[in-house]
Amino acid sequence: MTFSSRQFYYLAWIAAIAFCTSCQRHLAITKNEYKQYGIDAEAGEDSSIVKYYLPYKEKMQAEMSKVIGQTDQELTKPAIPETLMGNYFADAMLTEGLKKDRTIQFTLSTKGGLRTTFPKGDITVSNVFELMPFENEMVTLKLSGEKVQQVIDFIAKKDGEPISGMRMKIRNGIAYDVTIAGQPFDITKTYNLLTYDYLADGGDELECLRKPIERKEINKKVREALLDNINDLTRQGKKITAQLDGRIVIVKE
Amino acid sequence: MEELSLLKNNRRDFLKKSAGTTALLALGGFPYEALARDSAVQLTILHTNDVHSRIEPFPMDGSRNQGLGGVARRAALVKKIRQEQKNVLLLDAGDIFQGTPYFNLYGGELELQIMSDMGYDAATMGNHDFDNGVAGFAKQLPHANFPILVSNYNFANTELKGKTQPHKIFEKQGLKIGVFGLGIELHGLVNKKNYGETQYLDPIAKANEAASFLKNEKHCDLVICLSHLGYKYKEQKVSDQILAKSTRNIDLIIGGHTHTFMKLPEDVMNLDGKITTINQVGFAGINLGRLDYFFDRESKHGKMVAAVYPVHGLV
Repeated sequence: MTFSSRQFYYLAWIAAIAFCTSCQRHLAITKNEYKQYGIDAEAGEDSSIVKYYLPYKEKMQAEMSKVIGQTDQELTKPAIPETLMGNYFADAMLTEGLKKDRTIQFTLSTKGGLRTTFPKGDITVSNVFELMPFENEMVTLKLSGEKVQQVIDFIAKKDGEPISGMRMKIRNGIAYDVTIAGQPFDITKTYNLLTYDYLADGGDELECLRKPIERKEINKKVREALLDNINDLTRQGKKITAQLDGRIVIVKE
Repeated sequence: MEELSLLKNNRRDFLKKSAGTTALLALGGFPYEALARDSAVQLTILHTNDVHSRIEPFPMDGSRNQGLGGVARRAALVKKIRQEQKNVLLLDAGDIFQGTPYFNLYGGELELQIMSDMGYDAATMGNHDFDNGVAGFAKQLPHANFPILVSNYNFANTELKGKTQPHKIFEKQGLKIGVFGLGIELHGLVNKKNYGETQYLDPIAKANEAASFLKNEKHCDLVICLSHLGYKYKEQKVSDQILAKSTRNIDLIIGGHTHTFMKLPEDVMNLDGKITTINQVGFAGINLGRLDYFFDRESKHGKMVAAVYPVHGLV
């Protein structure tokens, strides 16, 4: 039997325990062992447990596979600076956010936060869960112009992020010709941003979103907003659509 | 028997001899039961952390963890171990909730029901267990027939008031095992709306308080901390490693939060110069950790028994 370093360490662990605990007044630990079981197919299955969760699974699958809408083209996401998925997502957030708070002027999320693409054709509840598996909730932040400038710098540095209600050009990593809600950006003004709690709490390097002038909870999960948006479109006989509309343009020299 | 005198030798010698005997053991030689019958009590601790609503194994979709985990398999394994061992404790270090649509659709009832069915003895709360708010967790609690142990959250002004316990003492064949729980700082990690009036208390102070109470006042033979603080951080944020160094009377920390796949438990010297062991087994129920402690009844009177043990191949 070879005596690997891992095993050596292991024995040392035992020895130390045995030395240290052998003379106290409680029952002494004379030795101990450690084992880790990988849970894979070899473990077998407790059929009573499977039987137990099967009805939940079936109901879940029925729910998740429900077709709630349709796309007319695949909504992809890896391109810069704009993506179809990102634009749909950001626009849907703005639409749904405005139903709750009329003061919202623009929205921000991050490419990394959108976890999948939408295929062309039928979109199911499951697609929406895959896109936004997190329980992120929408929040409105009232931000100073200086803070918004930091948001703009962040978007430029990242070669674009999913935004709505905001347009900009980027040259050499610097944003210019920035408009918010159709008006040129003015650093002396305050702005109302719709985003979600994870980012508002400083996630994804968005430290600049912490400590806003004011924070309002919308009390709606992003995923629920997306589901509402798609259901609404379908009710109106519309498809889920998005365009690359030049909201972010990277200007080459 | 050779092993009875081993501790008198220096450690190098001890290890060398152990290695030799281990080879024999690997061939199926010496059953520990011979010794166990006389004076030793064996305690088997099984543990999980950050299972994150992983009811079914990861789907076979080419991803890194495909085909791993699954509650039915874990249940089968636990059942088998319980048939073999008299004294089993099954523990979880939090983040039971969130990660699959089972949570999103059913709010956590299935997770807690299955854990109850599997015979979990206790669990602590992770940050994701607040994902449907304190009220969302409180609502699901009737589905758990095991206690939720947290000693550093004050729930007095929340829906969880009186529904968790700081610690619990388990008795197994005359052994007393004290278990308490520690939660991570919620501010900045969990939406304030979700943790509400939950008050986060200093985990080190509360740990020292709980462990001292369990060991010195209640005379527990083993003190276990279920921690959702996280294994370790680059910054000076309280972690299981810092906890172990800064406390007394904790024998074992079963950790979570950082989803750390530890190959082996780690021993840290505590404030008393004694060993506090830390372990954590990844996430999603991909692994089940097992620690077996052998206690000697005679040693109270100064007699020392050491035995050699097999070195397990780690799965």
